[in-house]
Amino acid sequence: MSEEAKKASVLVVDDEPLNRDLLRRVLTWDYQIEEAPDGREALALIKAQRFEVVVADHAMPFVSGVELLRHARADAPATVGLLLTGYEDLPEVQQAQAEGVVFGVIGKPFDQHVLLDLVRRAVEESRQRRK
Amino acid sequence: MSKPAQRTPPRPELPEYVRRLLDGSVDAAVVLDSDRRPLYWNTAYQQYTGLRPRQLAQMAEDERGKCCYHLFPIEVCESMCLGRKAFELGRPVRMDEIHARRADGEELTLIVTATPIPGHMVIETYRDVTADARIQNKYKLLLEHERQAKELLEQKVAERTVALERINEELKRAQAQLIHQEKMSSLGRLIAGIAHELNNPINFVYGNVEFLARYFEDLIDLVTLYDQAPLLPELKKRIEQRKHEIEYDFLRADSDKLLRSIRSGAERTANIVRDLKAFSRVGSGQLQEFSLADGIDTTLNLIAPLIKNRIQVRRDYAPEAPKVFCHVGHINQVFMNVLTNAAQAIRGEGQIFIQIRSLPGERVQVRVTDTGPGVAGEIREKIFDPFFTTKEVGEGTGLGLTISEGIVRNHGGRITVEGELGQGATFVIELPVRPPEHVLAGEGR
Repeated sequence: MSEEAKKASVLVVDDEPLNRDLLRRVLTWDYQIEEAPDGREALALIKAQRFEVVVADHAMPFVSGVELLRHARADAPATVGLLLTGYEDLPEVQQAQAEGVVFGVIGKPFDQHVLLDLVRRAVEESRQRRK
Repeated sequence: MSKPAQRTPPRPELPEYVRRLLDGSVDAAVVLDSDRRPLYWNTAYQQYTGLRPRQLAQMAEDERGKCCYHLFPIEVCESMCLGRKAFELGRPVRMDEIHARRADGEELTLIVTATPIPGHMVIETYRDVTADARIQNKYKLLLEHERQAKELLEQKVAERTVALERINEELKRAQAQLIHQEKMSSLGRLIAGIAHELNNPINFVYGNVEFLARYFEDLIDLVTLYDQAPLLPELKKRIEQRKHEIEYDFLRADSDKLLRSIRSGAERTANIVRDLKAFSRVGSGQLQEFSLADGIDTTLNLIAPLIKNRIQVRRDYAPEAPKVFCHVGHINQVFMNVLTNAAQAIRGEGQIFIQIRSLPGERVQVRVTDTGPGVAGEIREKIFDPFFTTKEVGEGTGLGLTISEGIVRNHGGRITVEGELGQGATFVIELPVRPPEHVLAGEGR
């Protein structure tokens, strides 16, 4: 199986299980999905296996979405971070975006097509980074 | 007998007790005969006239001796000689406030009396009331001063009352504004909390209903496929019977409706949450220099479907109007709300007139006027209140203008509405070129 043909891996991180379910439902057709309920578990997974994209909720216990993506960027530079948040214009979110730690922000409640489009572009970005 | 004694008629006898009475009197007193010659006088009289006893005695001998000449100007003396009047009338006469000059030049105010007594004599008394008169004058003057002071005081009180009333009005207005601001700010916090809590549930309801609809469609497809399959008659009969029991055709049609209504409800709730978030999120993020004219034009493009072929938009943008430092997204949201309201207010055809002006004190004003029905007075007060709407259910959340008010206020500006019912509405948005730092520093939730 070639790199392009293989389903890209997406890690979904959200402390709300019903949101993880929904994200899986939206993305599972096109991507290989893994789930983590918080940032700590997510970081363990990122160290253990390769993900093209991490979709993380921002407001989570222990580690915020932005912090998680910052660590992920350091550990796995080719892994592209997407942030799910109800508050797109928080200063730390905007700063993380400016630094490139966050590739895209998805506002909640999200539109499935917007999410799919953003994940598709994030996968492209990841493959670009790996080249 | 001496000569003068012969020439003068016999002098009337003055009773001893009269002399004593006069000697003891504080007032100046003189006893005159019918020719107005002094017969007797007391010490006070001597002091008044400044005449020595010898001079007075001489006057008594002198036929023309008219003692009062020494006290009064002659014409006064002639016109009002009380002694003569007393003789003529045969009873005491009195005059108050006679002005006279004493021998030493002192100006006096006197009360003069003349009392005829037996033996063709008259007693004239002079009471010095100069001090009294002076006091009275002073008193009158004081009264006048008091009256003037009172008048002045009343005037001052009236002026102060007006000023105080005005201050009171201002205070009331400021207080109302403060209460309003406090209300909006605590409301903002409450709404931020609600929006945050609603965010996740509405996210998965909103997202999942799509899947439910898709899954349901697939299931119906499957049932339709089964319907076409060659089944054993017995099974076919059981299926038909079950379909009848559950009213399959109705269920199928109604499920579509149910899903549509769930989706619409979820969408509306999502919109409300979005609005609530925008309302409570005012004041974070970065400030950018922004042309309000650009903002208006962009927004007009976005709501083109509302305006196209129906509403004529007239723009009057002052070219000198400066750019404004603001949260662009938020200000655009204000324009979106105000312009959408204007477009929705116009039923059928009409006009929206947009004016941008530079105001003194580095402020920019945007006026949006529509040819809709306008805003009634009682509505005008509530128009910025949360959840207040005149639109149909589902057409508006009643938060648009509340959010706009919050955004504009947070930028140190203000938004007001003008125009009477039947004259169209004008929304006036005023923004400072540089918003106050302290307002923007806070999270503004």
